[in-house]
Amino acid sequence: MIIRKIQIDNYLCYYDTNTFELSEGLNIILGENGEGKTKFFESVDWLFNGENRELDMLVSAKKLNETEIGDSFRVRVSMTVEQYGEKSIITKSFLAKKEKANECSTSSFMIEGISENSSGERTQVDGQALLDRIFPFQIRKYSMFKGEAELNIFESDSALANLINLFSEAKHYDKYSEKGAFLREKAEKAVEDSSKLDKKNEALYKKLEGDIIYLEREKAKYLVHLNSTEEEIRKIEGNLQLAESHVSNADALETLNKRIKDIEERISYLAGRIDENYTTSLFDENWILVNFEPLHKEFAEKVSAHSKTRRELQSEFDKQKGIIEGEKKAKAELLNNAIPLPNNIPSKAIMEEMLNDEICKVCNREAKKGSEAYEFMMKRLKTYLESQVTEENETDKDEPLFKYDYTNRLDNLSISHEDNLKNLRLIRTKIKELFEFNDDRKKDIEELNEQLEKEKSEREKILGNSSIGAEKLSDVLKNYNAWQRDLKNRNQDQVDYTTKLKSLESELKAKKEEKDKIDTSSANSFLIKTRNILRDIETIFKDTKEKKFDEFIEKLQTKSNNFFKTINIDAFTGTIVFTRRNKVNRTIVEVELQEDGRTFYKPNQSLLTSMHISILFAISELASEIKEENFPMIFDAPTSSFGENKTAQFLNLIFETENQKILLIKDFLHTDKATKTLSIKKEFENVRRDKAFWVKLERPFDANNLKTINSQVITL
Amino acid sequence: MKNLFEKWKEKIPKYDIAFREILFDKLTRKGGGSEQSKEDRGKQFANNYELYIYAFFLGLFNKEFSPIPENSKKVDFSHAIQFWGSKSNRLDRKDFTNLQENIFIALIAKTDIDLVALEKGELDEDDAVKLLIKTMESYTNGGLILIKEKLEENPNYFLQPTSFLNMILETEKV
Amino acid sequence: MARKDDILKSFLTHELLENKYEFNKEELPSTIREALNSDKPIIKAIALIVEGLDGTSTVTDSVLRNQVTQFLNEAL
Repeated sequence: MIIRKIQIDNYLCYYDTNTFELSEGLNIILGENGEGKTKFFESVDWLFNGENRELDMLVSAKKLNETEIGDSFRVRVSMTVEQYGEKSIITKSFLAKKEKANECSTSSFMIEGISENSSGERTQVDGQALLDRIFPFQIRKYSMFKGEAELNIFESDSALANLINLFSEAKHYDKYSEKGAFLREKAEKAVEDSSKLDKKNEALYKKLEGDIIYLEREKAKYLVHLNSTEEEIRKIEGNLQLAESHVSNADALETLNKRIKDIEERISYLAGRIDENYTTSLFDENWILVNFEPLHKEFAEKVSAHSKTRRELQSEFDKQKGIIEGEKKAKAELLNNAIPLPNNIPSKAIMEEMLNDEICKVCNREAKKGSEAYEFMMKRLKTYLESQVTEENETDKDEPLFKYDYTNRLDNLSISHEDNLKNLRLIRTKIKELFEFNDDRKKDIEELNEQLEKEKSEREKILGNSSIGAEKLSDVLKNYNAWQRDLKNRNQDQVDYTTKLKSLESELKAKKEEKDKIDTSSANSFLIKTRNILRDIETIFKDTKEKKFDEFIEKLQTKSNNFFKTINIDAFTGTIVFTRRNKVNRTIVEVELQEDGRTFYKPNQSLLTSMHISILFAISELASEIKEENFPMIFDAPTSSFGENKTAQFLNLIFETENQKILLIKDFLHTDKATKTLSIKKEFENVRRDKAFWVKLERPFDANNLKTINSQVITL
Repeated sequence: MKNLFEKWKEKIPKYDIAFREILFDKLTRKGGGSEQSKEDRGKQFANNYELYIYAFFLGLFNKEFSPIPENSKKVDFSHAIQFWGSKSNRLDRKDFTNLQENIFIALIAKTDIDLVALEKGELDEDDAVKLLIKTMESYTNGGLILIKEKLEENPNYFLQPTSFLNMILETEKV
Repeated sequence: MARKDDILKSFLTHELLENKYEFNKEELPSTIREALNSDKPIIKAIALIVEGLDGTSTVTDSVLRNQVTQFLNEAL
């Protein structure tokens, strides 16, 4: 698409009818400050985007002055464009009626469209629709570059995402992720309904559903926290970089900051290792038993004394009762009529082991099979086993001496705690070791704190050598330390939120799996298979959409950087990086300048301008590729922050790109000091261009009297 | 086979109401809640039974056998011994079974129970357990008195993280 | 190649089909027409959706759902 002609009637300084017959390629419009360049740009912007209000502010004062009270005239901006051999004329205009001196009323504006086919046949069409068709508004937005102050199109993160969505193939995939979700949700619902029919799972199922909803909500909440924390981190980093840009010795500052961060991390690590929950350890580590050994001894002696007494009494009782079997026999077999050990000592397992090994491990002597010792052990084991089986029956027969046996358990307790004694003896050492460990860590922390103080005062010294005034400096300093603290806290938050999110996700996954399990066992198997396939299809649709989106971003990034490097040839640039971020309900794209992977927060104006221009070129080039046509670009004073070299590079570049460009600049004009006359410098002859204009005010004029202002268009 | 330990575990020992406000309310976190809430509220003991166990051992090591006076009102925190330190709801904490057994061991050692009579059936099991609980309450009461005296000497004594540990470690000298 | 075929192809290159369903890249169809005759339920289901959304006559949500469900009902 080419703009063939722009006609401006009675729009501010453009009195009466002014025509720019534009050429393909590069059109340069020269003009001194205040002589009509920017008004030209604004009139085109008004044609494209202007709103229907304060129209009386757009009226040419000279025209109004010449008009009789009660008479009207039209304010009009009109554009003739050519696209695929067809001509279209789009005109935006309104009527201004002079009510009294210096005052007029205006009608609403109207947009007219005229379409002319190749055979010259003209038809009246809706002007706005025509404009949007031949020059889509998303492209228009990125085709106009005004000065350096107004770059907000790049600050609106969703605008870029919208553009990408419109341009990239990703737009075809939007409906797929929507429909994919729709189909999957229906299938899930079908499975759930079918599962619910199964009454026995109803309660559990309901609970799981509730849990899942709760977890999803928690997850969303933490995502919001995480997003805003990340935003805050970037803001703080930006503040810090801005503050650091006042500092002359930036490298040293960076090294210091890194060292300070390291020290702080080490301190928090060490502090985390100090365990001073001594009171808790009294219980959990059993430290409270530190002086328990004598009591255990007392207990063990008491139990064994009782056990002995009991056996003595039993033995006596048995003897008197003349009971033949069991322990009595065992007693007779012991030397010197000694009191036998309790039946269960040594234990069954140990007896079996000794029999197996044919060794009496109590007295450490051989007990070969068939030997007396071996037979003794075998008999004891049998006696024990019998005592376990027949106890109940036997008591029935005869009134025993002891109705109950508490001794067995007490014995067992005593034995099992015997092993514990060595742990009790170690408690004191353990406590001592922990105290020493903690003391050492505290000493380490103290040393680190000293070091930290030193590094911090060093940092303050460096910050002190800054390029801004002392008063402002103290502000920066005050904030600087606060920002550093904030940054540290936010970084911790970020870690916390990420961990929390991870745990929520795994919990959610577990719950969903549990629910799936119920589904699998109770829902119709066809429904489950359908659901599983539709889940996969949704994943495929979503991923593919993101992939397409990312591919486009990648392309945009590569192209932008190519232009960026060309404009800034031989100079430091860094890299333009586009990042897609998925917010809760939308996707946004952010642009930033990076240097070695680090955000470059405070690029100078010229770098920033060239970055934005590069992105515009890249978008324009992509638009050309996708729409298979070129769109014009209009730049108002793009190079005022550029040095000579960069301006030359820029002009070369702009000349070589294929699409139509309209460039408004104030360079190449010369004012003669004596005569005050304006002329065009000789150098302009060397500037490659396709067409050039000069807008200048009709002389003489009174800068304080708008009625004398009339920009003339001179085609060079 | 009979088991005194099992029976004893089901009991809820008591303490003198005089200590409720000045020690239990002050030093322990009552009721449920997480370990975190112990720290949040600045309490030294996560639970009132922890203070009870602590006071018992403190009294025991210091040989402070001091029965609750007859005319005092006895109260408890309706939490049977077997549930003391049970793992549920106590994340990051350890099980108290070993401590329970050691308390029991100490009670058997220090209580005058006629075990022969018990096994012959001449002494009722419940009466034996009552004697054990009485011993437990008496040492605990003794321990609580020691803690109370420490607090009276210096109200800030327990602000040190080491104070409760130190009181236990010092008992060796006694 | 028609856009719907392009779209189908971009879906069929998703790693899930290779990793989970163990389809060979070579045997995957490259047009909607082929895909609609596939013996693999997930591929035919995707093809049905693409045909529904980017084919000659687009369909409503409920028609789309019925198509996909009915097909799967027979295939599974």
